[in-house]
Amino acid sequence: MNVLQQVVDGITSGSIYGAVALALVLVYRSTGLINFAQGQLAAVSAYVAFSLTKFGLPVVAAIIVATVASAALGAGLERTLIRRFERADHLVTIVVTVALLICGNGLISLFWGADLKPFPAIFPSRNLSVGGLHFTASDVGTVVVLLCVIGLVDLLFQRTRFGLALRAVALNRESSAQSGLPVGRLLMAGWGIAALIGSVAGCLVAPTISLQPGMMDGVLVYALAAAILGGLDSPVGAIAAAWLIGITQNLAGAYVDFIGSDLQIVVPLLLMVLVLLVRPQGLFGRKEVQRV
Amino acid sequence: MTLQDTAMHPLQRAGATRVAGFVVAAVATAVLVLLPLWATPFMNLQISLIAAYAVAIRGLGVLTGHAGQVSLAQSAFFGVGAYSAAYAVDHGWPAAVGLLLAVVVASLAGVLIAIPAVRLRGFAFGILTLAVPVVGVPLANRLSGLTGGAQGKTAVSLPAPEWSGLADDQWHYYVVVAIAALIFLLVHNLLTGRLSRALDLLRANETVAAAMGVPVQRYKVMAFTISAACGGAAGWLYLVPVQFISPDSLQLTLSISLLVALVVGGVRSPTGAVVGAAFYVLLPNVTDKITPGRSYLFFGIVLLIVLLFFPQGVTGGLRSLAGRLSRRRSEPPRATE
Amino acid sequence: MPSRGTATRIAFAVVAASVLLAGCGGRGSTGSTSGSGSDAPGITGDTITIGSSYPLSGPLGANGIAAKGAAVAYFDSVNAAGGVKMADGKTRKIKFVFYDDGYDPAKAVQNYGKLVDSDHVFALFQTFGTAPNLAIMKKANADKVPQVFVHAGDALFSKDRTANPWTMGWQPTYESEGVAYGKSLASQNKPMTVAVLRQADTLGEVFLKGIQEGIAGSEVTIAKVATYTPKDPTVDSQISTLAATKADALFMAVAIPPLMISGINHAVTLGWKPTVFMASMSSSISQVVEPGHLGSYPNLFTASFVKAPDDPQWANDQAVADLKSQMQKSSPDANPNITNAQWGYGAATSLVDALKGMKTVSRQGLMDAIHALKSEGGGILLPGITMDGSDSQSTPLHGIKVERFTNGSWQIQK
Repeated sequence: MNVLQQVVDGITSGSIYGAVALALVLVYRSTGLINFAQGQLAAVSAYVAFSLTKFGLPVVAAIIVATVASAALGAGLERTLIRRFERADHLVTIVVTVALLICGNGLISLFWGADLKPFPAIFPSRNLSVGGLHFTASDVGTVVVLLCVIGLVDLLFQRTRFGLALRAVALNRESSAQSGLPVGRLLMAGWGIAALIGSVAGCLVAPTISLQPGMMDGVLVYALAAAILGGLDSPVGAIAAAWLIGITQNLAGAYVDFIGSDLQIVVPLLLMVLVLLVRPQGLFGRKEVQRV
Repeated sequence: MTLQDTAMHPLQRAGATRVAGFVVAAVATAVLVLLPLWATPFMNLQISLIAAYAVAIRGLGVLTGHAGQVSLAQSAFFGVGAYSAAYAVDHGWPAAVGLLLAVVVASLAGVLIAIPAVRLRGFAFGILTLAVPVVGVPLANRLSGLTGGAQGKTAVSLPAPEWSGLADDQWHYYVVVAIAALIFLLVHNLLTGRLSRALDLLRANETVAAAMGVPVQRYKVMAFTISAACGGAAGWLYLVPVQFISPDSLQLTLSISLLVALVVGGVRSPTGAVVGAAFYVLLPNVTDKITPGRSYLFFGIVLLIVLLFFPQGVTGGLRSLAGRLSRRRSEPPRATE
Repeated sequence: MPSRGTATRIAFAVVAASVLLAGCGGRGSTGSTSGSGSDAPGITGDTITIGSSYPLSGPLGANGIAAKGAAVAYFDSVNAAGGVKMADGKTRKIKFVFYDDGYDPAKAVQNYGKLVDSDHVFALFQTFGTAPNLAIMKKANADKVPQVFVHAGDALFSKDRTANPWTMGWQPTYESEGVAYGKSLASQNKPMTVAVLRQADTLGEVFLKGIQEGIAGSEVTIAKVATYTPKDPTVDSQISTLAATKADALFMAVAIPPLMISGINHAVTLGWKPTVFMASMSSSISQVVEPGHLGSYPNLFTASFVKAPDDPQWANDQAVADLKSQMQKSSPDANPNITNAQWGYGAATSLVDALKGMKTVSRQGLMDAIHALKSEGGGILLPGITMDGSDSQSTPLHGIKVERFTNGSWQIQK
């Protein structure tokens, strides 16, 4: 019974990792780089929502406003900063997002301070139990909201013209530009949607972990592992990998004595390494073909 | 005054520049040699730290700057080197043995990680290197028999010998700066000819290089190992003046800071490694006077400024600035038709 | 190429200039560390300079800012009243110099160098954290610089006065806190089991050692121990494992408030409601109990040796009122309800007491004065907490009190 409980415990954290991993995949597919600041942007959004609640807004409204603002911030960053480096090599693009990470952390400390701030609860506090397994209304709510967001984004990509255009730009920017698609605006949209998803994840996890400038650092590492493990160009892969990571991490920590809970992080990373050695494109990714 | 007055024959210019270069090098060496006799122990400590981090950054530069493979694992090799050095001190081994141990253990770790890692490209490789310190730190906490766990290890070594008449901090300075200089020379010699050209090709386009017959995997492992060896040596160098190591000093933020320092200084430049290290060590001195506890924010802001306006790093930016100045002086007057 | 030499020249000039800026001033006349160069550095006719190194950024930034803010507030109030009257008849104001180390021992060592060589401090006070203090300890003792009232709960700073005569702790150790919890369980004289969730480092180890010591020889046994790291987003998995033992008590040796909150709440979710002992650094009413909705939890215990400003029972206490008003004035960015602030304020009081009690105004004089400190309760300390600086095996403060959450307040248990 404890095994299943550990599994259930892992689904909520897996959903949070999955949302951030999805945001990472989105950015990668649209602009071809990994945004190391994805977690930090989500943290900024959670802080903005927090400030809005202090001004009297109910928490759900605050989150919605903060999420929209976050999308605008993401789009703006793509246009003003990231766009300048689109022709630069890998090192520079990685370091640009690292710079965003560092500055984001520093700016949060500057404006809000470094102390731990409690974030108001989003869901009613209620304990539920099904067949001997225990979880809270918040766990259920978090998973449901994230699945809805992911589902909507998927619908956007697969069933709308806008989504089609986004996919085209991600696949081949030159051809899309030649076909007359507004590439610049679509790139901004990619970053904006990614920021939106990350923001929802950050706000959902904030009541549990409380606000702190580095609050999303741990989540980011797991999200990166999930994105790579799933295959950087596969949204489904990222989420599946994230759940896999959340669950195995708990099971290993509880049942493998050597691992214990301080080495829990070894499990997802080891998993990622092993999979990559056998399948460098990740579990669900497409094999990369480079035209020279 | 016409341009003819200031123009020199190209060969004359080259000769004059070489003499200038020697003079600069001689003055710089004299300064470095005499400085610790006058400086406070705190200054000597900081310069020793700059030398140690410069070695780590130069090593990272071989892998990331020359071979073009972004790595976030350098803090782990630094840590391995420092712990090996502490181990040697614990067992009373001579300092040179400690240095050898640090370099060997770090290189072995580097090879072990590199062999699987080099099969990955681009971001996947980078994320894998990120995993190394993220796993390494809790591991260092856990293996407390070897590492002293969270309490770390104190390692006092290299007391100043009687005949030198120097204080400990001065002796440490000389040892660290001299060995760092030697390592820079070693790396310079390694990066000549075939290896350097191969890494350049590899960096430009891995697939093309492979198609041209360059044994890409082998060179990537080589670059990784050199980088790890430098990281390990840097850990030994760090332990000499600081005399303490614990997992708190080896977090992922150190790897990120080394990468940032590399980019700020100039990714393929030895001088850049020194500039980057100086930036990392000395920035808090300056910013903490303005507003304490915000050095990380300034770090990020300077990085952004460098990325936007000096993409070749500070040394690259200075080089192009100097190039532009000297070109203006020597260009013949433009035709006006 | 002309530009290469120029670049090198400029780079060296920049480095040399920054180094010179970094620490102006030459060496002492002996050419060795300036620590021993003068009998009483940091003392002038009207000021005494005290130095420290805190994490003012990073994950422990808020804790460092709280401790620093409390010390600054107390020193400011002493200076406003004229300063500290010392044995040589002079009254001196305290100049407090501190730097950020981000909890990185490498930076703490550099800060030590700066404080001793550039700022010429008389003594180090309240340097923060076990690892940074360990990094400094050897150097401070070699240089004969007092490293007093270190802000750490580890016993090793006070245990060996022959090896480290210049280093001294202040607050009761975390081990003694564990012992108190163990004894509290043992005193019930019936077989009980206790589960432990501890941090996976020495902090957690000493808590565990303490509770094991406290229950030794009684009918209480440890059911299971689980560990966590400060970076974990939740401890649900660990709590689920501990809940399976159905132990009677749970020792949350957890230093991270959000994990304390979510851990206890997850236990409730699982239908497990053991007697809970909360580690003293994460049991604040305003930071943990209230935001975590733990007020109605039956059998909630913690331990403390200071009065908490957010506890209604001390609403009319003079020392608490002083702490709040002084911190509001001098350190508005610091949070007085974080336990580090209360500890910092208390330690600052002890330092000023020691400065007043110096028979000779020198570094050795300070150490002698600290060893002569003897008092009970008073100020921000709970009634019954004793201060005894002469105990060479232990920290000066003794007698941490177990408290139970009753009617919105932490009531001291007999």
